Formats: sequence, structure tokens, C-alpha cells
Amino acid sequence: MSHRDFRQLMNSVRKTERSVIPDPSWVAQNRIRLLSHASSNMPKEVSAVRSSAAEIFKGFVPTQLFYWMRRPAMAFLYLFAIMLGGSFASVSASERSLPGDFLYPVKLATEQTRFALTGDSSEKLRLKTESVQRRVDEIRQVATQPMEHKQERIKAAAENLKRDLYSAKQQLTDVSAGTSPKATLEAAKLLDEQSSAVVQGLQEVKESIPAGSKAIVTEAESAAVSTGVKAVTVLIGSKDTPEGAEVISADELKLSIEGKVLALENKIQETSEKLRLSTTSSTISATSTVPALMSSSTASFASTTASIAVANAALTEAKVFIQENKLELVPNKLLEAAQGTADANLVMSSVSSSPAIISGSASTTSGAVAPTSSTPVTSVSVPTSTTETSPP
Amino acid sequence: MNQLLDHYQLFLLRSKRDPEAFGHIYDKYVAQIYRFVYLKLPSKEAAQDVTSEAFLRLWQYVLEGSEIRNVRALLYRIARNLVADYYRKAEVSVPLEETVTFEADSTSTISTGQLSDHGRQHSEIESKAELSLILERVARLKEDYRDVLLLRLIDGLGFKDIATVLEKTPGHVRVIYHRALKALDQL
Repeated sequence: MSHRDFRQLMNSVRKTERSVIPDPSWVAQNRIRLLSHASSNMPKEVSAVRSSAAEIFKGFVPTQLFYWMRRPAMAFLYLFAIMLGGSFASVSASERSLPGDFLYPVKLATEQTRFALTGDSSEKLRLKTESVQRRVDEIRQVATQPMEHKQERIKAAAENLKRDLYSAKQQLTDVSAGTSPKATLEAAKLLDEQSSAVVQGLQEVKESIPAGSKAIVTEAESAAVSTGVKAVTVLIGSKDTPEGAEVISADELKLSIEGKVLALENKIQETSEKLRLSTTSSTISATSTVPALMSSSTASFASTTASIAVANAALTEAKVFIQENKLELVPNKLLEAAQGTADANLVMSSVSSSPAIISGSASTTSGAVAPTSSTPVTSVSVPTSTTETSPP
Repeated sequence: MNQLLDHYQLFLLRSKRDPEAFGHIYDKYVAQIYRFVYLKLPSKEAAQDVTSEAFLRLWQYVLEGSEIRNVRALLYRIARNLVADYYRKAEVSVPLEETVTFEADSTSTISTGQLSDHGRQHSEIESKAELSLILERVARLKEDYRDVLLLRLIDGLGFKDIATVLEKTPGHVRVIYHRALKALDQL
């Protein structure tokens, strides 16, 4: 069984697992049984701390005074609770919202507020990595659940992911400038782990993503690779220092680098496969009256092939440097490989979206549209009356 | 935020002795745990039993006053151990590879607008067969590698949750995951 077949098998099982819904009547009956068991087994005594606090309260606060203060104090508390409860309810409801949902801007605003109110740069980086993870989860949820305007939603989530990755990269620079070497290395390690998780997460949902949003998701993947490489560069720079050894072992560092090489290898393989399929299935009409367009298509395929060759060469050099333990030379090669792959995908996307070049029995298997702009998206303008099917 | 809400429910349970708080935790996670165990067990009834038992064991943890940092991950850990126990019991001799059944009423629900019962049963049977192929392939890997791969790629758990389930650190889990993928490629 090939690696690809195995992955498809895994995805298929996971899809089915996610669609399993327990019998509602069993769920309800089981709940009653469980709660009845819980009630009958509930400990009788209140916790010791609470009872002594009650004794202390009774001893020090005059009961009369408490009685007269109680009503206005409670009125104020009720009012405060209603105000806070409303916003709290919105915030907690928005946590589950997805791009295109009514409360999604609230979710983003909450993240941005939390970020803005945090002073510590390491803490800011940690918040950013959490945002990045949320974007990936959003893409996963939109890709794997039936809903309307999937393509636009995924595009919005991917744009936000790119923005958050860029911001995380900037945040690492701030941490490096303002904190101790150990804190910088811990931040770099966190960012490295998170960016690997992003690449992995996006790979896992690739097949569920509509063709029209694959290009932007590929861009987001490239952004994650680039962020991971930046983080690894910081770690490599300090690998021989005592702080470096404390934060990440040589083995872990090498594994992280090898993980990136593996991810890039898969990407290059995927891109080569896409190119091979689009070359064999497309036919250029012999009777085309636009020779310039024909040669443009040929030039594009040649350009893609060249970009893939550059990526392959860079990755091969990276592997040699890893074997020779010249780790400080590796990040640039990884970036070169990532750039080559991204360029190849970009050219293939623009070729497949050109209408008049290819005729006859042509079909493009990538089906990708031209990449969207990289302007950050803070709100999504899709109709809010979508039909969502939330998992139970 | 999710964990905060869970901790709040635990607080209500322990300080207010409100069983309804446990009900909220149940409502939140019952479907996830059921889903987690369903394809790993031979029948719907077994999945229901294991799911119930998982929540009873969680209740036990609460009663004992044990520290619970991550309710969700703890439930997954309990469920996973219960699935392993299920197959260890003497009276259950059916290995997972042979758990494909053809009961006509083995579906879990009837939902409008989705696969018919027959269609759902067919896809679940297929998935059980596919799962057994996957298990056959990963059986050659080390136990740690196998566990992390399946929890990540099939059950879709995050590294932090996997770390809690397997009682390791998230960093260690990531390293295992990368190594497992590499080992899988070499099989």
C-alpha cells in the first residue's frame, strides 16, 4: 500500500468516525441514569474550607448591616451580571463561530483585544500561536462540514491564518529584542512546534478543500513553513549555548528540521504530480489562432518545471548540510525549496485559470483559481443566513 | 475558554454539589467519546456501554477529589483504556480485525437529510474494514508510534490532548509523531 493510499484510508476512516451520531434516546436515558447515580453518590459534607469561611463571615460581619446592604448590593450585582452576561454570552458563543458567521467578527475582535491588552511579548507570542491554531481548526471545520459558501469561508480563514503567521513571526523578533536568551529560545521552540502543526493540519484537510480555495491554502502552508524556518534559525543559532541545550536537545532540533524536510519533500512530490497530470490531460488545439497564447502555456509549464527543479536542488543541498551537521546553512536552503514550490504552484494556478489557451478535451486537475491578494481579512462578507450542520 | 467552562462546572459540582453540572459536562462530550470508541468496538451496544462507563469513571475521579486539568483529554484517556480492557476480557475473543458485522439494525441514528440507515451502515462497515487494514499496517510500529499516529490521524486529537491521554509531554508527543511518520514511510 503506498503512502498516499494509506493517507486516503486514514482520511476515509476519520470522515466516517466524525459522522457517527449516538442514538438520541440512548443519550437522554444514559444522562438520567448517570445523574441519578451522581445524586445518590454525592458527598454529604460541604468542603472544610467553605464551612470555616462561613463561620468567619458570620463572626465578623454584623447581620443587621448585611441585611440593610443586601438589597442595593444585589440590585447592582444583578445589573452588572446582565451587562456582563450579555457580552460574556456573545463572547462564548462567538468562540465557536466560523468565517462567514454572524459572530465571527466578535471572535476576531476578542482575540485582538486580548492581544492588545497583553504587555509581555512572550505572552503575546503565545496568544498568537493560539490564534494560528484556531484558524487551522476553522479551516478544518469548514472543509469537513456541509455548509454554504465553503470556498469563500476557507479563503477568509486562510487569509487570516497567513496574517496571524506573519504577526507571529514579527512577534518572535520582538521577543528576541526584549527578553532573555532563554525566553527567546522558548518562544522560538513554541513557534516552531506550532508552525509544524499548521503544516500538518493543512495537509490533513487538503483533500476536503474545494478546488477554488486550494491555492490560498497552499499560500498559507508556505507561510507556515517560512515561519517555522525562522523559528528554527533562532534555535540553530543558539544550539551550542547552555540555554539552547536547556530548551531543546540536539535530537529534538534535528527531528524538527527533518520534519520540515519531509514536509517539503511531500509538497514537491504533490506539485510534480499535479504538473504531470495537467500536462497529460491538457491538449493544445492545433487549430488555435493565437500562437502567442500557445507559447505562453508552454512557457508556463517550463517555468513550473524549472521552479520544481530549483526546489529539489535546494532540498538536496539541505539534506547534505544536515548529514554534515552544518545546520546553520540549512534554513536558507529550506526557504529556497519552499519558495520554489510556492512559485511552481502559483504558475500552475494562473495557467489553469486561463480560459482560452487550452481547448478540446483539456481538463485541469488542479482546478485552482488565481491566488487572492494577501490583504488581511478581518471580516467576511458572505450571507449570514447559512445553513450550518454542527456536529452533535 | 473550553477548559475554563469545564473547570467552572467542576467547581459547581464540588462546591455546590450540583449534579446538573456533571450533566453539562456529559452533554458536551458524550458524542465525541461515543464517536471515539464506536469504530473500535464490535457493536453499538459495546460503544454505548464503554461510553457510559467512561463518564462513570470520570465521576469517580471527581468524587475522589483528584486534580483534573483537562476534562476532555481525561475522558479520552479513560475511554481508550476501557476499549483496551474490553478486548482483554476473557469472554471477548473477537479481535478488532474481525469486528465487521452485518446486523441490519446496527446503525446509531436515523437522521433526516443524511445517509439512509442502510447507507450509513454500509459506510460504517466499510470504515471498520478500512480501520482493520490501517491497524494491520501500523501493527509493525512501536506501541508509542502507533498510539500517537492513530490518535492524531484518525481521532484528530491535538498534541496537547494526546499528551494527556498518553501521559507524556506535548514536545515528546510531537517528536514521536515525526518519528512515527518516518517509520511508516519505511514500512
